Amino acid sequence: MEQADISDENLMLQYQQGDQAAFETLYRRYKNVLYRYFLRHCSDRSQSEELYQEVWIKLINSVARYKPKAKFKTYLFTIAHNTLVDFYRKAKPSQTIEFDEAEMNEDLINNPTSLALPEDEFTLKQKTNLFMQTLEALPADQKEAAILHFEQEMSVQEIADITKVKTETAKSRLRYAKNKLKAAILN
Amino acid sequence: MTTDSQDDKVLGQLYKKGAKETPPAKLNYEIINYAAKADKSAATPSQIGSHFGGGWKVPLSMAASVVVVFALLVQLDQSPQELELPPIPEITIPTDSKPAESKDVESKNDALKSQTVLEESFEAEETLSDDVAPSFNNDAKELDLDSQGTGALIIDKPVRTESQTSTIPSANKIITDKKAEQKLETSGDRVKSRQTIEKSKASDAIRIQSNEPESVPAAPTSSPSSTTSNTGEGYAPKLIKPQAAERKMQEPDVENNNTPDAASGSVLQQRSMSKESIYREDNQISSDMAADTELGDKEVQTEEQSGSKFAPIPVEDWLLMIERLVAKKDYAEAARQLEKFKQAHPKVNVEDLDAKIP
Repeated sequence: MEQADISDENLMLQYQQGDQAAFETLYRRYKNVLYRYFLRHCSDRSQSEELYQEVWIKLINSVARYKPKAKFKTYLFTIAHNTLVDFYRKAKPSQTIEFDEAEMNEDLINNPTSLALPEDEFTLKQKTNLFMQTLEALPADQKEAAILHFEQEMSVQEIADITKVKTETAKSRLRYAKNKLKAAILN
Repeated sequence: MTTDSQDDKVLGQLYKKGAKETPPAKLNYEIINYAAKADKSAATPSQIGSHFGGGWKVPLSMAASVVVVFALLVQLDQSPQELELPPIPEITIPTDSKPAESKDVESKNDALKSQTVLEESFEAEETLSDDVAPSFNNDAKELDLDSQGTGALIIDKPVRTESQTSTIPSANKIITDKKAEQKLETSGDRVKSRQTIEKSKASDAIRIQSNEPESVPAAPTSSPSSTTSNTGEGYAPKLIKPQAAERKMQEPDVENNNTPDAASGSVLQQRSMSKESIYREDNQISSDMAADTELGDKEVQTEEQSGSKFAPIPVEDWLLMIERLVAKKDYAEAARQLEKFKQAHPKVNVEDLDAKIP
């Protein structure tokens, strides 16, 4: 069996037994997702890289205590979330990007129209940039929920587990994030 | 719902189209390298156990050793008597062996004890009558004294036991001899070492004859008593009671004659020899009390063994013994004793006895 077919949990267990290749496989699977996770939350790239590196170090150091009670994806992003929360606590409030909802169309946010991908490449690129700008402008909790949802296609429950909130709260955050993104694109 | 799912799909596509950033290669290398290094030193649960197992064994063994040593020390402190037990036999062994060796280095207490033994025996002897029973009572008393642990009595006990059956018929003779002995007390041959004898009642009761060399001849070496006295048995025989000494002296006669009457002929000689032994006892006691040194005891022993200071047989005893031999018609022994007497006392007129012997 190739390591590409092995689940994340088994790879983590193999790495726990000293299999370095298992860790490299895991790293290839989640390096980009995790990197973008921090990149979306932090305006500074170097700072996001620092947080990204910190998460992996935490994972490596805690490999001995790892038990496959949940999905490895949930385990990894829980570490990332905690690291990010610690970063927010240390950072100044001014550094947090406040989403200016006043500039958004309330109707568009509350009742977004259906979206359709633009047919031409130029329009698609413009909408993508708008989407990313809107995403980065979202409140942190909504942005986190949106990133986890769009990046890893996580369910509301998984988002709630990672962010350590109720399912309804996570669902609300995700709903708000989507509506804002729709409104920004349609606007 | 279809609209929402489609919108999610569009939003997802937009996100994936816009989010294509990847971590720098340098960062990837550092993280993987860190993971590799950490993997070598990473502690898995099993590895943690093994590392811990390898780490705690040495301290645990050292701690166990310390605990054992401490426990032993505490135990030794709590039971010091157990440690002192081994030397006890070493101390008691020499004390137990002292009486068995019957050394002359015994203290004055032993000498006084022997004096007490002699005193008791003589007191019992004075109460003797024609009945033989008291002598056996004395034997019983001596057996009791043997139980007191004096080495001399223990050594003398077998002799006494053997002679009990043989001396029973001659008990009356012994009593008769004692009466004759009392008559001899007036002969003037008093004990030269009166000062020593007066120290104890036993010495007064014995009334040992004098051992003046000018009046008493040297003990005949060929006589049965001389062989007995020259045995050099050490200190133990000197503590023998007079009766025991008498019976010890009678043994050769009994063995030679095998008759009660045959023993009566040499009773006086035996009596005199018993007095010799008594004299030696008192002499020994006096020397012990005077010198109280081992050297003095050894000197006395040497003198005894050389036979130079044997207690001589009193003249009248000797003559009485010869008369008894003549009366027994043991002319050979009588002639022999008479010849020895003449040699020892050439000035004494023994023509009457010489005439009686054919």
